[in-house]
Parts: sequence; structure tokens; C-alpha cells
Amino acid sequence: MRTLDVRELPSTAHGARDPLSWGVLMLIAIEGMLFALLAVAWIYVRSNYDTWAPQTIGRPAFTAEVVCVGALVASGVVELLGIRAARREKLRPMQVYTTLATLLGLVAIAARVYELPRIQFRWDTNAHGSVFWGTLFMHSLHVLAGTFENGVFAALLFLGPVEKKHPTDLENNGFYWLFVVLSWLPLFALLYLERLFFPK
Amino acid sequence: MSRREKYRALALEAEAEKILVEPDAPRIEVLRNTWERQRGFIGFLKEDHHTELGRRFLVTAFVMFLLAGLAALLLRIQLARPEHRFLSPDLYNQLFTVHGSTMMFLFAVPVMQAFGIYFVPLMVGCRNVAFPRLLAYSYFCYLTACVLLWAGLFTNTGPDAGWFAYTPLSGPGFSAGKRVDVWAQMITFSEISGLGVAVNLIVTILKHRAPGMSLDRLPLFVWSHLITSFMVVFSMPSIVAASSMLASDRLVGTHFFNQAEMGDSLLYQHLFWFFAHPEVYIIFLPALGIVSAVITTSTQRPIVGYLPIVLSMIATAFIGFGVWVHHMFATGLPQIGHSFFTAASMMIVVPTGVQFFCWIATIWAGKPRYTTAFIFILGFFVNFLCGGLSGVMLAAVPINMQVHDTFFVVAHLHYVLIGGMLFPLLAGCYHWLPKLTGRLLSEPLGRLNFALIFVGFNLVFFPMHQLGYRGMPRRVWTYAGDRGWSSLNLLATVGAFILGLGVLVFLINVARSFKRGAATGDDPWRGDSLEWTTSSPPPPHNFDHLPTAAGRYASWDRAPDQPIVTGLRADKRELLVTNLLDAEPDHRIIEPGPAIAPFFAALITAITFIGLIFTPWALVVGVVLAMFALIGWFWPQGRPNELLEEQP
Repeated sequence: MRTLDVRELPSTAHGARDPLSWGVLMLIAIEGMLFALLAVAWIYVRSNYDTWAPQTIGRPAFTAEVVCVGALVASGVVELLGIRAARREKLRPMQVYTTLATLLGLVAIAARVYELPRIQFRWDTNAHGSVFWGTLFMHSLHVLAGTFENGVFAALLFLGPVEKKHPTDLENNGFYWLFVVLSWLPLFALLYLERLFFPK
Repeated sequence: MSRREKYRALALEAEAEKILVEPDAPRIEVLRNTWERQRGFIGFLKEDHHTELGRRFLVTAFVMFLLAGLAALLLRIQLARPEHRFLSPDLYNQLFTVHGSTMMFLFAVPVMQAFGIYFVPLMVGCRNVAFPRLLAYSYFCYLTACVLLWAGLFTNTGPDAGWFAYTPLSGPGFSAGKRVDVWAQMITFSEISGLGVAVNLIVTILKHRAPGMSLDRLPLFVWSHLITSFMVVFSMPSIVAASSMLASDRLVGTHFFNQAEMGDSLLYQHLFWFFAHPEVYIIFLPALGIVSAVITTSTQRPIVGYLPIVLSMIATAFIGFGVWVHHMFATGLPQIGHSFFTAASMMIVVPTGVQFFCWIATIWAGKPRYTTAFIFILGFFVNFLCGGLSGVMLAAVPINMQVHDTFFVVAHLHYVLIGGMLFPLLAGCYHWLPKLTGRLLSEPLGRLNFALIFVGFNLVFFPMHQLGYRGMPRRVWTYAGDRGWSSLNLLATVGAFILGLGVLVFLINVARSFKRGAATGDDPWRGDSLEWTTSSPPPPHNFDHLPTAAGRYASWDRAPDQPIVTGLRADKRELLVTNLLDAEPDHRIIEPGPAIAPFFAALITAITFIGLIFTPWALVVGVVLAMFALIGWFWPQGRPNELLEEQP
């Protein structure tokens, strides 16, 4: 009987060779679709208004959000470095970058916590407020979950035992965090900047 | 060579094979122990193997089918004669809503996914799905959806705004109480489950195929599930968005769909149908996969037009995303919208037609065996064609406006869904249940089953076309005797009971097969795909040796010495990962194994979203609890596998 011996094959693989990376990609497709639909809802509701935007966000809240975006982008860059370290399977830089990304995530969360009570309209003010808060809420949940995951990973990297598959897992985790960061940029532009540059 | 020498050589060959195979016997015992099903109640909650979970999905979906079918019988009794007072209007509303919601969300989609969960890993030749814990989690979420909806009905909190729960009727202004909230959260659970299963199937198909099974050798059934799962991924977020917005309008006073505060009811319809039209294809495409599989096996020849069929399914999936507005022709769209969506809706005929002709050509060129499964496929041809034709009629705006929201639409959708999905599904049951149970279903009972369902189905739904023409609105509780609808309604009710009898015969047939069904052996139909190369039912590890594929019909194309995969560990749940296009062996991974965490995660999901029916604070509790559950899910347990060289 002929055989195909797979004994010598490696037990981990990086990037798109890893099945979990495809799982994460699908998760990103699902969540990305959700964000895209929220953007559609925003544009749809906008067409119902004669003047846009019906309320202003307020300077303190806007500034806080800018800080949040800055922290998110910085954490995205750090996460990219973390992914590179994971590809090289170097423990020390993985520890450092994951911890740093977690801390920057916490800064972003703190900025959001500061921002929310200072927004000058509520979700039940009108449809504009509903879509604004709905989108912000959904994304904040993602930031919360992503930062939590980064934190758990950082803890795992410090406590051990670190298995051979963990760098790949870290890559996938980083991949997802990059989505959380990047998906916010167009939504931020739509929710916060569009009203400044394209009022009606 | 003399005959004696020939026999001697054969005997030597057999002996040599024995030597090769025999040392494996203890290894297969280890393999069996490694993959053994979990025992006891806790084991039940921890189980994460696709065959066991596929069976659970299948059984649960059939229970839902029976319950929703019983609801339909009650509705038919109510409509059997004019001015009937069998059900109260309120209960009638709840029953038709729960009937529709159950059939669409808790039966049709999950039952097709159940077939995928059970058979896709077997057909691609691997030992489990890519993410078994996610699959377990998905099952418990699905179960929660079922229990929630039906517990709602039995406690007089059954949703009553129709299966698409249009606003403003379903909004806080017109639907007080918690009925619509039950519906919205049922949607959440069933969509979480659907998405989890879809992701699982996609990654299993893309990364865990048997070596040699390149994408162009994928069985058509597996193709249908791959395409469907992508549709699930891109369409279900839309209904999640719609139902979440509806729930938040009702719970925290948002105005997504409140016209008075610049929200928009039509936004709800767009979001709903952007999911729900693709959903029709999510239900229908796996059925096409079943049709292709049954026809291939029944005619014992390669399918005609493999590539056109695959491309047609992909085309259907794409076009399926561009036709949702034909459900909204009566909402006052601009003319260009009418034209575009009419054209798109009619265009879908093309890929469907291509598949029909490929199947007909296959049957024509082969010598079909008229098994019950095959006869159900013939039933599918006739009934689905009727549904397709009334679909072409509905795609034309003038007719659509005339029969909008009448029984004509009810007739059309049942012809498409029962004709296009239930007939192939029952064909699939007759074809594959022997693989699940090891027992054949009775053929004479099968024929009776087909006859009753075919006649009953056409008696219920064909008259509804006429009722629609005569102006009978759908979802109407009762009607006056002078409208000219009475006799057709009575006929439909009689048909419903014949249809019900057909389903009963099916149940009897299945129950009987457990006791008295003939043993099937591994391959009762001489099937073409890999599930027929293992025992019936499959062992806990699916295959003693992972197979390889030499052609499009992996079971038929096997060489006498077709290679098997060796070198995977037997003492751990190890899977082979192959590459995306050519399925060349790439690396090995060890599955995490059964755990209780997915059950707890599902429990927390249930607490959170059922809590959200009553208070927004449930979300806060849910997020905190979910964090703990996720740590339990992901944190490495037990003896670590291969360690990284560097350690903290």
C-alpha cells in the first residue's frame, strides 16, 4: 500500500497558511460588513435631513476622540511591529509590543470614557444621534474586546508556558486589532469630519 | 502464468498487505480512544465533534420543522371556512409569525448547515471541522434561539408582527410588550450560530482537504456549502444590524426607524431584505448541492458540466445580493430602481437554467436508478420550476403591484422553498441517513412518503395562486363567505393534512429503520465522494487513514493502490492542514479538544441577550462574564504541546 507520510511536516505555520488566520479573516469580513452597514444607515438617515448636522458634538468630546484615534493608530503601528516579532518567533519583542499595544488601547478607552458624557446629543435625541451612538458603541465594544485580548496575550507571554503555536495566535490577534483600528478611520471621518467639511 | 501460480501471487500480495496493515491495528485503537465521544451529561455539554454536533443540529432542526408544521396546520384549520372562529386573531398572528420565523431561521438554514456540518468534513477527508469549539458554541446558541421563540409562544409572548417584523408595526409605538423583542433576540442567537457554522465550513473546506483534492476536484455538494457560507458571512450582518436597531428602538428609545425623529422605516426593509433575499439562496444553494450529489450517484456517471454548475452557483450568489429591492416594489421606489431590480431578478434565471440543463443532460446520458432519493429530485424539478416561473412573474413590477401581499406571494415562496429545499432535503435524507445510522430506509414507504408529500404540497399551495389573483391578502385571520375564496381554502386545508400525513410517513420510516432497517454496509449506493469510503456510521475519528484524492469523484477515481496519509499522531487530535488551491500537505495542527467553555460562553450569551429584552444593563453583565469565559476558552490547559525555545 502506498503511503503519503506527513510526519516531517511542521506543527505551525505563519500567515495565510494557518487555518485560524482564515477564521479571523472571516470574522473581519463579518464585522466589516456590520460597520459598512452602519455607514450606509448614516448616509441613509442623512438624506432625511434638510440641514446637516442637526447637532454639534462639542469641542471637548471631539478633542477626546482625536486623542482616541491617535492612540488607536499608534497601537496599530506597535501591533504591526508585534506581528513582525511573532513571525520571527522572538519572545522579548513580542512581550514588549503586546504590552505597549495594550497600554495604548487603554489610553484609547480612557479617551472614549472621557468623551461619551461630553457628546452634546444623546442616542434618543433623533435618528442622527441614534446612528452616531450606535456606531460609536459598536466600535467601542470592539476596542474593549481587542484591548482585553491584547492584555490576556501579554499576560500569557509573561507567565508562560509559551507554546510554539502562540506566535501564530499572536499574529492573528494582531491582524484583528489592525482591523479594529483601520475600520475606525473611515467611520471617524464619516461621523466626526463629514459634518465639518460637508454640511448641508 | 498458470492459474495456480496466479493464485499464489495473489495470496502473496494479500499477505504482504496484511503485514503492512496489521501493525496499524493497535494504532487505530489509540486513534479511536483519542477521538472517542464524550460520555455523561458533562460530556454532552463538552462534545465538539462534527458528526455528533451535526446530528444534534439535524434533530433539533427537524423538531422545529414539526412544530412549525403543526402551527401551519392550525392556521389552515382556521382558514378552512369563512368566518371561522377556531383561533383568536391574536393567536393567529402569533402562530403565523412563529411558523414563518421558525421555518426560515430555525429550520431551513440550520438543517442545511447540519448536512454541511456532518458531511463536509467527511467529503473533504478530514477528522473534524476547523474550529470544533466554535461549532459547539454555535449549537448551544441555536438551541437557545429555538427555546426562546417557542417558550415565547407557549407563554403568550409569541412574536406577532410577521416573520419580517416590519416597522413601524414592530416598533415601540404599535407593538407594546415583549413579543417583538423575543423575535429580535431569537434572530441574534440564530445568526450567531449561522455565522459560526459558516466560518467553520469555509475554513474546513479551504484548509483541511485531503491531499490531492484541489479546488477543481471539490464535490459539488461541498462547493455549494462553500459558496453558501460566504453568502452567510456577507448577508447575516445585515439582519443583525436590523434586529439590533429594532431592539434598541424598543429598549433604549433610539429612533433608527422612527419617522417622527428622522429615522426611516424603509431603512429597516432595506437592511432586512439585504439579508433575507440572499437567505433564500442560503437555503437553496445547499439544496442544489444535494441535487447534484444524488443525481451523480443515481446515474452512476460524472455530472455533465461540472464547471458551468460551479460558476452558476457562484453567479447565483452574486446576483442574489442584487435583487433584494424586488420585495419592496410597493414602497414607492424611483422608476430606475424598478427597472434595475426587475432586470436583476430576471437575470437569476440564467444560472439556475444552466444547472437545470446540466442535470437533465446527466440524467439523459446516464441510466438512473429510481430510488426514493432520485424520485424526490424529480419532484424538486417540477415544483421548483413552478416556483421559479411565478418568481419571474413577481419580478415584473406591474404583476408584483397587483398581487403584492396576497396569497399569490405565499404560493410562490412555498413553491420555491418547499419545492427548492424540502424536496432535495428529503432526497438527501433518503440518500445519506443510512450513512448516519447504518440502516437503510424502506423504499416502499419512501415512495408512499413522496406521493403524499407531492400531492399534498400541490393541493395546499397551487390554489393559493388563484386565491391571490382573487385578492385574498396574506396573513388575513378570516374572510367573508361571499368573497369566492371558500372552496379553494378548503382544498388547501385538505392538502395541508395530506402533506402532514406525508411527513408522518417519513418519521415512521426513519423510526422503523432504527429497528428493522437493513444494514447498509459502507457504500449502499456506490457513491462518488469520500464519505462512502468509511464505515456507516463513521468511526469517531472518521477515517482509519486519512484518504487522498485522485480525481473529481474521489471514491470512484481511487486507484487500487491509492495512497493513504500516514504519520499523523494517533494519541492527540491531530489534523492535517493542506494548502488552499491544490490541497498539498502543508503542516499539522493539534486540536484543543473538548471543553466546557463553549457551553458557558453560550450560556453567557443567552443570559446577556435574553436579559437585553428587559434591561440594557444586561449588556454590561454580559461583557464582564464573557471576558471570563473567553479566558477559560483560550488559556492553555493541561500539558503544553510543543514549546517555543525561549520561555519567560
